[in-house]
Amino acid sequence: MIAEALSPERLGKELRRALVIAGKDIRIYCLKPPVLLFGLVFPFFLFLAFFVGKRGPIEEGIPGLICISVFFASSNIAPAGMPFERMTKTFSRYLSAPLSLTWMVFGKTLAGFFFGVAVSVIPLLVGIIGYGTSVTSPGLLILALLAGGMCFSCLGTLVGSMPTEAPGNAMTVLNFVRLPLLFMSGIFVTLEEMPAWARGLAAVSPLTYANDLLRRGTGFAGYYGWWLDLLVLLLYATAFFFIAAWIFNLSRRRS
Amino acid sequence: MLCSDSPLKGVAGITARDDFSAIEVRELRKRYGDMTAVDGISFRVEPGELFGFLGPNGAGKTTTVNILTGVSLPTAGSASVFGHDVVKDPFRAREAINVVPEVSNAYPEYTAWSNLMFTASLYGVHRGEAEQRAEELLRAFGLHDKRKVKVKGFSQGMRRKLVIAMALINRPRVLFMDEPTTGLDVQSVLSIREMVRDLNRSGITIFLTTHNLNEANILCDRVAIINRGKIVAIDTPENLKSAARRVQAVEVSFDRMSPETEVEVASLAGIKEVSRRGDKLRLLTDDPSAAVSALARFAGERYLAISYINTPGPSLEDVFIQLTGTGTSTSRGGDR
Ligand SMILES: Nc1ncnc2c1ncn2[C@@H]1O[C@H](COP(=O)(O)OP(=O)(O)OP(=O)(O)O)[C@@H](O)[C@H]1O
Ligand SMILES: [Mg+2]
Repeated sequence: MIAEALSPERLGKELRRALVIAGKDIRIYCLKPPVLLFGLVFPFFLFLAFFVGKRGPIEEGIPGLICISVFFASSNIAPAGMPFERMTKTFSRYLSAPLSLTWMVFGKTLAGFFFGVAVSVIPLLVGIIGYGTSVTSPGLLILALLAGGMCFSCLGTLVGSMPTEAPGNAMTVLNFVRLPLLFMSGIFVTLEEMPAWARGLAAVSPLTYANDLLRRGTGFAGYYGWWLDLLVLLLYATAFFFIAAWIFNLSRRRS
Repeated sequence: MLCSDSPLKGVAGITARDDFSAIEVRELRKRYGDMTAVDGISFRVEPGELFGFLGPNGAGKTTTVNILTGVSLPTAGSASVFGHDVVKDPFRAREAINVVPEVSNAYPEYTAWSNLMFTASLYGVHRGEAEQRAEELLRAFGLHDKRKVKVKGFSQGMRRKLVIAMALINRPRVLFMDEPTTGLDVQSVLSIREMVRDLNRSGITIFLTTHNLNEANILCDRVAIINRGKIVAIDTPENLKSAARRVQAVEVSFDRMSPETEVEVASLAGIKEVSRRGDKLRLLTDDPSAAVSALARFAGERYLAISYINTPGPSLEDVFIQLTGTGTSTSRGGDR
């Protein structure tokens, strides 16, 4: 049965079904008020408040703006959708559908990933058109968006895995996690300017690495090696994903 | 209501193994903390059967359906669908089934059509086939002119029918229906029961939970009665009724009836159970003639006039009351 579960035919079916779930989630949730508010508008104003307050040149902040956009948009879909789906009992549809729990969680994660990456194009274009941002290393920029989008979407899935039926609860927890990760990261203050203790703290936040990679992609100096940025983002993504899948399975045991 | 080349006809055979029972449940148990919701139940449902799972509120019906359909995991025991274990080989088991859950869970933001298309792709039904089948199902369920309306604006009955249609889009071999008629008006109840019969006639094995005795009686080939997580009887409705012949029913009505009357009647010698049916009391006894004499004496002592007395044959409800020790709340009067 294990060999069958790993056969290309089975994996192909499950991947297609995961994509079906992702597509549905994007269509239903990307225009919901909590996603528009906390996924798009809020990060933009947050950025303005801090960056304009700093009086630095805006073009320096563009990688940070892109990073914040991916971060907030990717992580927002799952926590906005899942509690609602538990409430309307539509969530049980995925559990009784012919795809494994892991693939279902992957589908849910892909929704945030696609949404976040799509949204990040807006600040990127704003940067290129309005502030002369130059994409010096397209490969790294794309890697940064993909790895960052995946990592932050997995974070969203992890928050979405908490067994609540109230979207408000999940949003509160989400912001409770996101804001510290944002303020500790190297986005508002670059890593070079930070005192050592703050740099240590920044090293904990996955945003630091996504931002670092984005800076390299847009012609700014990076702090860590690009491979380290990538590795840390992927490690965080994997950890968030599997903890989330474990929690989903646990709640199936409890429900 | 559905013609012979009905869209409800025809079942895919892709993942089924024919030498297995449609559903086999062995020593299934589900605990929530200290509470045991399903307490070691075992049964088989054969291909093509319309199997009823009858029990009062909280008996463990939904819990059982949830385990069989993968929504929840069992604490102990096992279950399989056409030989595919629902925990160890869920993919194959779930390809052969679909479910109409207790709560009508169509996506409110989607139209009837999108709901059907989404379900089809989740079960791997190809687009062309899905569209054709969706058309047929929408027509059969009288929802065709509402196909472009968002489910948000659907009535409870329309939602129920849509969810049944969604459960049929992959041509399941086994269909689980958790109280499909609860909360609907008489007309919808009748039309859904008719659909259930048609589906079963077309070859789909149906596992139907209900707390309505009449429904189990008129629809099911066999009925399992579950109470407090345990199966107390499994048989055909007729056999269950004849099992109850040992116990007879007496129906009586007095000119004045108070809740105390019910209590006092229950304490008369030889009376096993009393339940209230509108203005009548229904008593179960081993010896109807002694019970009738006792009632006459009781009426005399209390200066009550007997306005109605009857000794009807046993009903499924009597079996139910006898086996579960509950009763009145599980069936409405006149529903036999
Ligand atoms: N998630 C849960 N956590 C704790 N207890 C639960 C849970 N789900 C069900 N129960 C308990 O398990 C028992 C069986 O519930 P279940 O929903 O299976 O009953 P049912 O037969 O479907 O009843 P009804 O006719 O009301 O739908 C009940 O006592 C219920 O309180
Ligand atoms: Mg129930």
